[in-house]
Amino acid sequence: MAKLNEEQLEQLAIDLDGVKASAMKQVGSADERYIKKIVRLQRTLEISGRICLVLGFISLYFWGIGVLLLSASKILDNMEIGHNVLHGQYDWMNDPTLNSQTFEWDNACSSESWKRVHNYEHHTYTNIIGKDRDFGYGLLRLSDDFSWRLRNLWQFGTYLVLSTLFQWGIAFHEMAGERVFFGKRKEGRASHVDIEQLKKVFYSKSTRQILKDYVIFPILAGPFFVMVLLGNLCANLLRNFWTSTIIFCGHFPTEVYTFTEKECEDESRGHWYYRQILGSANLTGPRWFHILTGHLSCQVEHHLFPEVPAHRYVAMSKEVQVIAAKYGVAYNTGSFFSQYASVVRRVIYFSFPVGKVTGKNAALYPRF
Amino acid sequence: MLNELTNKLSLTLFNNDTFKAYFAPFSTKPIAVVMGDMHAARVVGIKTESNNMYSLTLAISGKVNEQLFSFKAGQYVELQVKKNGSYVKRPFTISSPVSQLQQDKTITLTIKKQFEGRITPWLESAVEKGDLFGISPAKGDFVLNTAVPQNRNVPTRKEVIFIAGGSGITPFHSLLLSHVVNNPTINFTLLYYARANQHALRESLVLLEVEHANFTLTLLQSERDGHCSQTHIKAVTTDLARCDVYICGPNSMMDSTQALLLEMGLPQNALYLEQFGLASFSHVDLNVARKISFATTSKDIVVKEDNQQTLLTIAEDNYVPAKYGCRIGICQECKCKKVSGVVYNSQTKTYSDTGEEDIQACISVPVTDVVINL
Repeated sequence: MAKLNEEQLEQLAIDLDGVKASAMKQVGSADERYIKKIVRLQRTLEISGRICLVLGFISLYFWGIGVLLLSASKILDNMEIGHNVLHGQYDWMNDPTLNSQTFEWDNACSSESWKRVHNYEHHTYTNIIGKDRDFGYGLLRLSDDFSWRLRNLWQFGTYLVLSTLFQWGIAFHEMAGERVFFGKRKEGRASHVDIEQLKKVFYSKSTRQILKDYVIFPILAGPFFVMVLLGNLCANLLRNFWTSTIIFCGHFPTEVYTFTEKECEDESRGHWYYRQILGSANLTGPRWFHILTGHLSCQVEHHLFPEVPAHRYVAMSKEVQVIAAKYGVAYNTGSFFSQYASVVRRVIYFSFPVGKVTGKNAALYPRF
Repeated sequence: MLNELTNKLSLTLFNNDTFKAYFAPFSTKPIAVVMGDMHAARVVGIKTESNNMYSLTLAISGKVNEQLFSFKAGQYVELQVKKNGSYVKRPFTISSPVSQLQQDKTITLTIKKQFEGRITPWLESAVEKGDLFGISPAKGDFVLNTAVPQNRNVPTRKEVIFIAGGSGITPFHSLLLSHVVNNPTINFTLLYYARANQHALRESLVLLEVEHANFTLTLLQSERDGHCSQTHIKAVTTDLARCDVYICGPNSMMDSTQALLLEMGLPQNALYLEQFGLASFSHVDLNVARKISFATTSKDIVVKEDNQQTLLTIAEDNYVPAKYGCRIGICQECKCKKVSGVVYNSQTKTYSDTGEEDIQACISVPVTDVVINL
């Protein structure tokens, strides 16, 4: 790929700013109606899901439906509502129940911690190895930027475990980075929060989450304690698998680029945009699929415009693709299955002690 | 105690601070009413007062934390309206007398259209009878001081002079209608400056003067009579020392009138001022010193004309604790509540609204005086 020159980058920034401005101009009542509708849907799914779990004593079908409804509610809460609200996409509504500063979600990770790691680190330094800890989460080797270690040999297993416990991985992410419990702190690393505060928030949020799904709601079900507890566990697991899979599909399919710190020093706005397109991947699918992914199926647009209400991404992606084509910038998109297959391929490929990627594989695992 | 417990339960079960918040999306009421921060107010009357003023009469039904709505004449309320999906709050003075609230549970807000503003001109055309808004409890201390001052050598009768300019008439309308009847021992005088035929609420003021001997109305035309002068004051009182004077109007009029009265010997503590409303945005001079009030830290900073720094930088330079992340407008870590004032977003190259809203401190440059929750 021929890299864009300064002039092209400047023009790219103007074009993409234009896409954003015209979307933001339309933001208003329609977005308010949309997000309120989704929140009502989520509440309805949650309440009916929890009722169905208890009705499981009549028939196990109820229990199964309960699990599905509850996990759908948790997925909506985390993806289309939580993730997007916490990006500040709905702050303009001045509605305290949907404000990035006050919103809390049904997830073991406190929204405060998540905003620091995700909104700040990941979105600012997307795919810059050494600065964006989301690339492999410090657990997986996903590019030849990292040298191979023995533990990478079974990293597909590690990936499956991470997927299963995904919310806990996310909750622990910031603490792991700050080396709260083990390892040595990185020298010169300026922390935005003190360790005690970090621990306090982690324990209080995770305790609440465990109490809710594994103590209080089961107790409320009286004799059906175990049924409700298992139902909540299954719903949490399904949500974990779904969010993990969608997030891996947005970031780690083949042909997604990685960058070095040096390449992004003093980068221009155009270059930042450029990196966001090259560092993300989209998924195609029907409308319900986009909603259940929190529109992270449009990961490219989300990375370009994180504060635009996400339900607009599908329409915006058409314009973005035209602009990407105009400058010859690779735009990574595909069906869920093909993207997921390529994620699996990446995880397995780098589990082997291959060194620098060369030949035809270089196109699959490109470095900027 | 019980309240605290249910809130804790709500937070644990639904990750919402209150059960109200969890069910809020199902309600069609204004969010502040649902959350119990504001009273519910239904529009029962809309009236044009002049070419740039209109009145809304609101029936108040809801309770805020079990408190019934009440106010003192001269106070204002914040009105929460929804425009294009966004909740906006604006302060408006109550122009109706206290008796109106007692009789039919309504208040009237008389609103001036700020033609460059985003809310006041739009609201008049958008509002319909039956619309539901939120209103805050009454605020402000521009209320009548009925006490006779001890240290001043005052005869038994107290004199109160109200000086209104343009839309500054609204608090006086409420003050007069509420107090003229109930305080027969006080003599009230109103000097009301406005352009010819632009005296809002004139009919009810004239009627009040006819019916009550202790109220004198003087309507002045700004084109003909100019600003408030010694002559105007001397025409209504022979002894300024026994007067309390209340002034409300445009800033320039308030400044000059205040200076005039102090010069004429009125003690400072007999002067009551109501600074009202922000300069409409088109009249903002971009090259002026601005006061940045950090509300959480209780710190006021004045920045110079040529200071084009962002709010985050200004905060940091003055040891105001502020969260930050990317510093280039991406991550939202520096998001904070702007209470009032206009800021320029250096990334989108747009100006903010004047009211309360969330802004990103790292890319926001204050354009007017700004109050911010940092």
